[in-house]
Amino acid sequence: MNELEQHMAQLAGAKVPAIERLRKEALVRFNDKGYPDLRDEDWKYTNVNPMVSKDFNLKVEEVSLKQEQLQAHLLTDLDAHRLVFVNGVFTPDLSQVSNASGLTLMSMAQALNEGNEVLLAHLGQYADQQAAGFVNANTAWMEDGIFVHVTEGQTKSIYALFLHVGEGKASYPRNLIVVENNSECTLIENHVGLDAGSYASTGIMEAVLEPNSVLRHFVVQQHSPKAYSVADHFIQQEAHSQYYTYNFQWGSRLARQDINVNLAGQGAHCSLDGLYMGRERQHLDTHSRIDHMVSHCTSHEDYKGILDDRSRAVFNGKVFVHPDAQKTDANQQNKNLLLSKQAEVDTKPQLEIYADDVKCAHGATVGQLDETSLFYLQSRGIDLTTAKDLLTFGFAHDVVNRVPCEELRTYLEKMLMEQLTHGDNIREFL
Amino acid sequence: MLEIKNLHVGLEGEKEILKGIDLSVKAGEVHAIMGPNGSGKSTLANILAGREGYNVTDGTVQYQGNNLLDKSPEERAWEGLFLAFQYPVEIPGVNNIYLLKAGLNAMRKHHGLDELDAMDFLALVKDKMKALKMDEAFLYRAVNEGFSGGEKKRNEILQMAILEPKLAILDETDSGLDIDALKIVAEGINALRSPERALVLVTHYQRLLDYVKPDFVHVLSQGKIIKSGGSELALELEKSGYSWIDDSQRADS
Ligand SMILES: Nc1ncnc2c1ncn2[C@@H]1O[C@H](COP(=O)(O)OP(=O)(O)OP(=O)(O)O)[C@@H](O)[C@H]1O
Ligand SMILES: [Mg+2]
Repeated sequence: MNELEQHMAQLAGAKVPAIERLRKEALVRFNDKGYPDLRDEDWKYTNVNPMVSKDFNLKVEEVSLKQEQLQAHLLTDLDAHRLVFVNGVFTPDLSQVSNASGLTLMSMAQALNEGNEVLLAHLGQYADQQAAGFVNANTAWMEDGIFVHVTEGQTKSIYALFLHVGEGKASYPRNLIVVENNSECTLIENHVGLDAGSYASTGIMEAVLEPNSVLRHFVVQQHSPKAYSVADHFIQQEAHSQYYTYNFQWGSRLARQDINVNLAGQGAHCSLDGLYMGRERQHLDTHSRIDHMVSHCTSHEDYKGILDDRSRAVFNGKVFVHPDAQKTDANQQNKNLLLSKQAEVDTKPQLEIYADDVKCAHGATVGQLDETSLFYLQSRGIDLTTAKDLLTFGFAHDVVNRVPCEELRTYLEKMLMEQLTHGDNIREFL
Repeated sequence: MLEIKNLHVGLEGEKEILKGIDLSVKAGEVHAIMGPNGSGKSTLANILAGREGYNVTDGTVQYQGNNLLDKSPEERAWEGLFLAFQYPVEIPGVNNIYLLKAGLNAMRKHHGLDELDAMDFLALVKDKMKALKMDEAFLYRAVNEGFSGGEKKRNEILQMAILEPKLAILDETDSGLDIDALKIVAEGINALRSPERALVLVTHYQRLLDYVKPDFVHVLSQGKIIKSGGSELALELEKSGYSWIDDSQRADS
């Protein structure tokens, strides 16, 4: 056995034939196709070579974390089931999961080892097997993550905290969320680099929303500034289901986020809100694809970006309105604020409409801080640096304000302030 | 207090807007500046408050004995210069009360005074709002966001009342106010009058000047002050309009 085969033999679910088959097939596809490159239309602005050419390790030594490093990120005042992962692996000591009726909640590794029936029915069904090499890589080497199955009612929030420490680890987080008829689920995903290590995270989430179900999904990506991250979400929506996602990202040297929503049942609704913020030489790429397959579905997307220094962002929002999708209502917006002359953004809304009775709107803007607003603040005695911070914060805060969870909002405000501003001078403005 | 000499201002790389302004404002005085649309009144006000985007091609401006033009807008504010905007700006995400408090405290800090704490500040601001008959709810709304035209103008006067400037330039603060609001705003302006302070009112109408009587009235046309006089000049303008300007400027050239 070579090293890779040895590693695969030790992965969760290795003794479950269906899982083993899934991994092997993915590996074959991966060996065949490899990773995407700039010739691939969906990757033409994002060169993943710096990420995939590095030798990250599938295993690193265990680390012990200090409480004070964690405290700010534990969200202890949030009433939630908490699952904490350190360098990609579930860590029971830091987690807190209680029994609740109507809910099956466990680490992905446990679900894989158990060969959980619901898991087997759904795993890999939505992550498009033809998709980029990262999907194949994740399926081949998926490690841990969360498995959520809501059968009835409304459970308390689920908080999945992915912590990264030290150098060199390659993580393959995998999440599967199944929300049955008439039930609701709230999931907060937080990816944090606790120090400035260089590592890679290649994540997949699949979510299935059965008829009349609701999933609220918050994602915060604050990986280390030297990290590489790719995260791909696949959302399958049945009739009258509602998916709300709020995506915040300001971590990673290079980050790619894909959201794929398949509106497959009439009356389904999805709403994608997001904020990306780049500094120094960060490269942040957001791709979304919403497929309106049937009639009477609505989709809403509103992303904002703030780019400073020499950072670069890519925003690509595709909306496909298929021939059967009459009475579609789709709108999409992307607004960008450039804080430096060297910062760059490539924004591209992309509507493809094959039905005639639809309402679709999109818009994208790229601008600087408003001179008149800066002058107004200065003329009231606010110094220029503070005035810039205030307006930038106001631009970003608009997205934070939409988050319907007070504890998370407070946390995000604090993190935003650290990212965006020159010190404490604007704290009192809130 | 303010000494403007032969001031020439153009847009960056473009045409000249102010073509040689001379104006002297002493402590205790009230000056009114009138004149047709587009004559350069707001440009003059903006230049004094430090707005970028203009080129001063000639002339000088002294404020309290120092060169005003090389100071940043915030320094001018700290040193007692205030501009009430013709079009107050909406600042989403910033609460009105915090802008007021931060501005005042930055100014106090500049003068070596202690910052006001939240309690003292609240007492002060509530007192001023009462005088301006403003609802306290305006404190907790984003600066000017969704305010009506008249509410924005009143908010400018509130900011002025808090900052207590030495030289206040009010650019058409009377425009868009209803009759009662005009009276209240005028009272707010008069409350600030003192022998140490000076006021420059840019206006199109006599009605504000009925409440705040100017010592001098100037007519600005095509970037020049073409006539100055006492308060009676405003009354004349109200009657005769600006049609006479054409003739006199033609005679000039
Ligand atoms: N940023 C600018 N870009 C282009 N033109 C400008 C700019 N600022 C001023 N101007 C022009 O300069 C002239 C003077 O404008 P200003 O706003 O000072 O007039 P005003 O006397 O205040 O007029 P009003 O009574 O209508 O308020 C106008 O012709 C105006 O269009
Ligand atoms: Mg004007």
